Amino acid sequence: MAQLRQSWWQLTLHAGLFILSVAIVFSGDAVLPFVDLPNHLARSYVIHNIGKVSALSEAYRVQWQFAPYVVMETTLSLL
Amino acid sequence: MSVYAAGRVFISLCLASIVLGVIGINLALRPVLSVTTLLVYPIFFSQVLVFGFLNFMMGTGIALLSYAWWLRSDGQRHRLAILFVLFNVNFFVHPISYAILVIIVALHNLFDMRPGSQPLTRLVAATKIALLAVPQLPFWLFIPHDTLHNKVPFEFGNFLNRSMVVLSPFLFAQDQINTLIVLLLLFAIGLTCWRFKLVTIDASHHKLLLVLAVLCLLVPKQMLGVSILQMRLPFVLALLMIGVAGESNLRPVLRRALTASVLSLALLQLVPAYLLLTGCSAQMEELRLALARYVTTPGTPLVSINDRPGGRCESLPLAYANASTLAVIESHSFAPFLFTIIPPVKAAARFRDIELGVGKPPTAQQFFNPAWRAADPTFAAWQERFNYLVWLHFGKKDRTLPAGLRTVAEGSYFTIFENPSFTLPPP
Repeated sequence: MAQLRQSWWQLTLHAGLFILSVAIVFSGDAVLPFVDLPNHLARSYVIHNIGKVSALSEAYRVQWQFAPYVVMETTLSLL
Repeated sequence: MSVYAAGRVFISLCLASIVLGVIGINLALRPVLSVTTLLVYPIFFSQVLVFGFLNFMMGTGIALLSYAWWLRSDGQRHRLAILFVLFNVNFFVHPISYAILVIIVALHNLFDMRPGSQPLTRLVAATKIALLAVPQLPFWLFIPHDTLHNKVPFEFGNFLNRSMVVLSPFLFAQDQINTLIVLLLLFAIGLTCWRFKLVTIDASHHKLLLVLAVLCLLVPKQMLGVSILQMRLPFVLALLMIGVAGESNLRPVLRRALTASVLSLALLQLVPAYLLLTGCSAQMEELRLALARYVTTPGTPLVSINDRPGGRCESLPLAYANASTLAVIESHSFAPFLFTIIPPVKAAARFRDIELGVGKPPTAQQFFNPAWRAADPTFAAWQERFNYLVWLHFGKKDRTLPAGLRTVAEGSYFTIFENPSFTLPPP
């Protein structure tokens, strides 16, 4: 805590820039044009809705396995 | 919550983890937070974010937080057990951020410069760390990889291919030579500074600079065609900030020059963020709305082809490559290029034979070339397999279209065609 008290103005700047950065992320149109983002979003959408939408269950299957790269799809399907 | 909002929440979580990791490392090394840690914000909006490598961004944040915890937990009980858990967590987030974390912690022990530390003790400690990473290695073999269309030599192959990650600095190809030249220059500058006593490296500097050197050496030859300097930028610069920040062991002129260089590099990262948020975002939205309105048959398969974009987003030629995947969300379409090695979504039985690898649609140059199509089982018979064709032409419509297509939507930079002869296969 003593460390944080000594760095209060740096932390204030951090808080301001963090809020500004999050505001940038949440501004603009529905889709952020990051190259892989549409694929991440679509996979998460399929995982979340495959039991509810017949067109998705007829087109896709969800096959979980012990492998990397799953954190975003898992998190988004929970949100 | 809509999937688009959830994506933004996840990006914010990535930012939070990286910021907290940088602050944590700084406070673990010295009592006052350095002002240069503020560089993490422009660095966050870097090319890595532009490419949408969000698992890697999250992995970077977790790696930074884990390293900060390791610095603070010296002498605690169960330290190795907790580190083992952190390694495992990071592995399932992203294998490269996991590898970087293992390397950093191992090097931290190997080059521990505190008084009284013995070389053999340090070697044993580093070996213990390396052994903690061994149990994850078999999981490399379980990472699914696509064979069809997978033409990138390093990408997502077997364990042998992955060894190229380590060997890659010695495999000269494409931008690898440029990377090597930059590394040699950096090494020469460092050597000169040391020779003429421009810099005095203390213990913590020594470790961090070694870590940086190894991170730069562990350059994969290619990562989805992206230079390693882009891929590693958040991590390398975060550590560089800590190494440079607030230290007085450099001569003042050199310190100012170095700080200015790092600051310039960080601010340059804002350029892609500006381009995206002011131009490309509206264009992506236009395509999303057109897909929602005109691709109307649920479950219908859709293929996208991409000409090189021009205009203000020219520096981001891949920005639209996966945009038509949004038809999955908007119209419940089937998009084969949705699939990469990333689990767990796969094609159902009726579409399994048109599943594509590596998540990249064909380019227009490929698709409009009959010879290229003829050599590919998916695209040779594309009119039997796809109902919609999304052509991202960016105003350059001077190609001869395949016969039988019906235009259903014209956008400012794309055309959506329907293939009337297509019949959706039964479930």
